[in-house]
Amino acid sequence: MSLLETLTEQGRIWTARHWQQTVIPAVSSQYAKLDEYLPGHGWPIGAITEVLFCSTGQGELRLLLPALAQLSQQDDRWQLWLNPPFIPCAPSLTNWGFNTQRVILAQTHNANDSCHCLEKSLQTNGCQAVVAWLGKFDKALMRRLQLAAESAHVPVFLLRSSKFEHQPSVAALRLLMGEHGRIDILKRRAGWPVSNIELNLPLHGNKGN
Amino acid sequence: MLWLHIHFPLLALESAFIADTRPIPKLLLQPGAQKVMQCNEQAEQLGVRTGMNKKTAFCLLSDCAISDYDANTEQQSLQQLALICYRQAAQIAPVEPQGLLLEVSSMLPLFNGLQDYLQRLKKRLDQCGFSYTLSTGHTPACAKLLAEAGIELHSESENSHRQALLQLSINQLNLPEGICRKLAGMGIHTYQQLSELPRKELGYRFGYDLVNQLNKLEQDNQKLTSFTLPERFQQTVHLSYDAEQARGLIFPLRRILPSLEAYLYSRQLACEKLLIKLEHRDGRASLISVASVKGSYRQQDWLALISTRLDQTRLISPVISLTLRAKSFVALKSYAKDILGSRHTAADKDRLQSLLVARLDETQVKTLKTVADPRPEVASQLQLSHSQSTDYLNRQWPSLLLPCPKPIQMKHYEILSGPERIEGGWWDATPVRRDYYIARKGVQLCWLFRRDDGQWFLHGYFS
Repeated sequence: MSLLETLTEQGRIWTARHWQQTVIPAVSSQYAKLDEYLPGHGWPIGAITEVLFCSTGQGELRLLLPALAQLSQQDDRWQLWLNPPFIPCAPSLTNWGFNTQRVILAQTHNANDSCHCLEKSLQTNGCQAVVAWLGKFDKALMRRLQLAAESAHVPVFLLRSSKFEHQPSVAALRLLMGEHGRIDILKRRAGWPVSNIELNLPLHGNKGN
Repeated sequence: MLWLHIHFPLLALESAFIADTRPIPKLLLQPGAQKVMQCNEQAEQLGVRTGMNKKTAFCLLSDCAISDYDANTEQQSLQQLALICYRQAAQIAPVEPQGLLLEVSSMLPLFNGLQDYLQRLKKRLDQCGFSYTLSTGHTPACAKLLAEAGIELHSESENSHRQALLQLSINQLNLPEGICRKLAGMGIHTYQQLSELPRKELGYRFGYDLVNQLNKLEQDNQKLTSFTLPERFQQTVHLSYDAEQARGLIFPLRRILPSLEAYLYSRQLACEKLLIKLEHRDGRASLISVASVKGSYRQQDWLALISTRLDQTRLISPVISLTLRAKSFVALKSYAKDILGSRHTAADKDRLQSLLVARLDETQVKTLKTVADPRPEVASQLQLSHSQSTDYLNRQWPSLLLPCPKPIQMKHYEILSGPERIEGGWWDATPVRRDYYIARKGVQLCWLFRRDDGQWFLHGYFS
């Protein structure tokens, strides 16, 4: 197979006409409208997704919760939540359809610890997804994380402040939740940036009852 | 019966320098006697010989490492080696100071013949890094003499052992020096010559000790003091240098871990906690503990945990010796493997948890706990990751809660819906009566409540 074909198949390059046909492993975000814009129709597996947001409570987690809830029901590995800014509320996660016993929370003190934990967790094969609230994280650490995510073949979500918007990033998918409450896709595989996606994020999961 | 003797010619030397891999001449000195007791290959190449005077040896060497002979260290290493071989021998006996005797014939049906058996055994021994020679024998004494003479005979036939014995010289028979001299004086130089002499006459001339010893070589009726597994695991390594970095302790620990694995596996136990006691140059001691969440016996798991832990450790002063102790044993549980070879196992999950705990400390790794209670701060709690108790509660609350509600000025917030009254806790010390509202502040969706006295609080974010 030629290099060109290999790259096309992996979704690293695409033709303008066929961009929606590239096969990218992904897990559905459970928001049909958002899935249309995401390569592979969902959150990429084995790659970093970076969600940039202005302030906590904007829906940055609600964006991910349906997919995470579904993953938590799939197998009995851990779902690692690193450095959540506040205490995740278990009864609410249950409402979103979570199996709360799958969630393990870790609190780190510096970027090195964070990177070490994320990397090791991904390497052990013992986690099904990773959600990490990260502040400043330099390029080398990000690169290590990217490699670990690729080999572990699980989705990795980074929740970061929108002030990192203009920093170059190795993430395969970057979303920005702006002040106006709409979502911009800053970067995605097999596609162009899209802006102003209006998405109605429900407050509750309404599941499990 | 078939016996196997493993002879470790440099056991004392190699255990004294267990943590020192520098390829320099190393000497083991006999305390008090000023003599070289054992030396390594590098020293031998420069002309040092066993039994040589200490000062002569120093004249030959420009740079060398020395250590005094310590019988305890040697004995401990022999026990460690017995542990390693334990899984492959029905009966095993340490032959002090530097040999192990294994009964082989009853084990052979379990293996593909003698060669396969020896190959597996050698693989185990090679892990430990001690030099050794091994030989089979139709009697324990015969195996021992052949191994000590460096004749590596691997055979099941009694005849070939007898043939091999015949080639030994008198000096290789471990006879008292006086007897050797007398025999040499009589023109007897090999075992062959000796064995042809009538036993009765030999006994008359040299005493019955000699006859007994010769009989032992031929008859297999010895009693073994068999090796049994100790109740607990503890091993000490004296470093021949000062370790200043915590990472530098990994190497000596790596030498102990194979025998820990052998020990735990033989007893069908897993260990939940290892204690590493460090002795420092200035006389102080410190303790590092490493925990594995569900227990493990595998050396790779422990090595990963220990190195994570050591990365976080700062030594208070240089270390001169360390002791590894295994604590809290649990029954070894075998992780069920998926019949389809599924990629993730429960073991991976436990390993992740242990690694996080080793790096971040136990208090920083939590799981979610639900308690059936109307008050949000009681219902949603965090617990240490090894405890897994939880009720079932399903509520339309926000996904992130503040650790404790924060008083706010209401004018910044715009109420979207509410109220929802939450009341409870009259049965314990912290009763609450609150009206909860969902409110907006810019793009943030918040969860507020008003107390009876009219004060507003922020309690969570619909993150």
